[in-house]
Amino acid sequence: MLPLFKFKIEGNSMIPTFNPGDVILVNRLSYLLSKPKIGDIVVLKRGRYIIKRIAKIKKKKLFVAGDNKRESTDSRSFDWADKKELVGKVMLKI
Amino acid sequence: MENFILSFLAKLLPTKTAYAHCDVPCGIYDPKVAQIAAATVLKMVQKINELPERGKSKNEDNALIRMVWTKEEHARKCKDELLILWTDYFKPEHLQMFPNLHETFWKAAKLCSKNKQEVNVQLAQELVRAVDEIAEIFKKTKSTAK
Repeated sequence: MLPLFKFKIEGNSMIPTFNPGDVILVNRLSYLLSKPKIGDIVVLKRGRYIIKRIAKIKKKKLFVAGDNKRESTDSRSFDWADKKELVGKVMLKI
Repeated sequence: MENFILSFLAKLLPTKTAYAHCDVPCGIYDPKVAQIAAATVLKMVQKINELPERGKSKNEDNALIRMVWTKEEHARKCKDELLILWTDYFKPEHLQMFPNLHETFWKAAKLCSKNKQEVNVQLAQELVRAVDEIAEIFKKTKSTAK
């Protein structure tokens, strides 16, 4: 299993941090030794891969939101995500 | 240096898609589709009413069935489009701006179903007005977002 995933972003919900078409690298091992933190940009697997920023944390749950609040479907709509859905932390834009 | 190595490694990796949204690509919300569907429902009701009371030929029967089918299909499409706007586009801050938002959507969605059940010009006109009202609200939320 490769520790890195490469993703191309589709959609506007992470503007201005990431624009549609941006390519990012995600570290799948980020949360093996450390815990998710508020502010981390993460990729989650909810049927398909989605990218959001962690806004709140409670025990096994994450409240994730897009940086572009007006054009984002996120925890405000689908409620808290489960930590098990975490794929990894966004490392960099390439 | 680290970024250089990662960038090089990245070239070797397959690309997956990460959606910065969940349901459909963000920003592609437009009440126009629902408005066209509602207008089609009204048009079909008017055309059905223009048909003779009883079909005199297979062709007239065929025309009636096609009009009813089109009315049914566009009422369904209208409801689907309204539900997407209601659940995906509109947010709590819009509800603060338009406190009757839920009531407006609920009535419009009900009118879609009513128009499937009946051939009634008044109901079809009410649907068109309800969807136009939602389009107007949508327009206002867009203009305040700028």
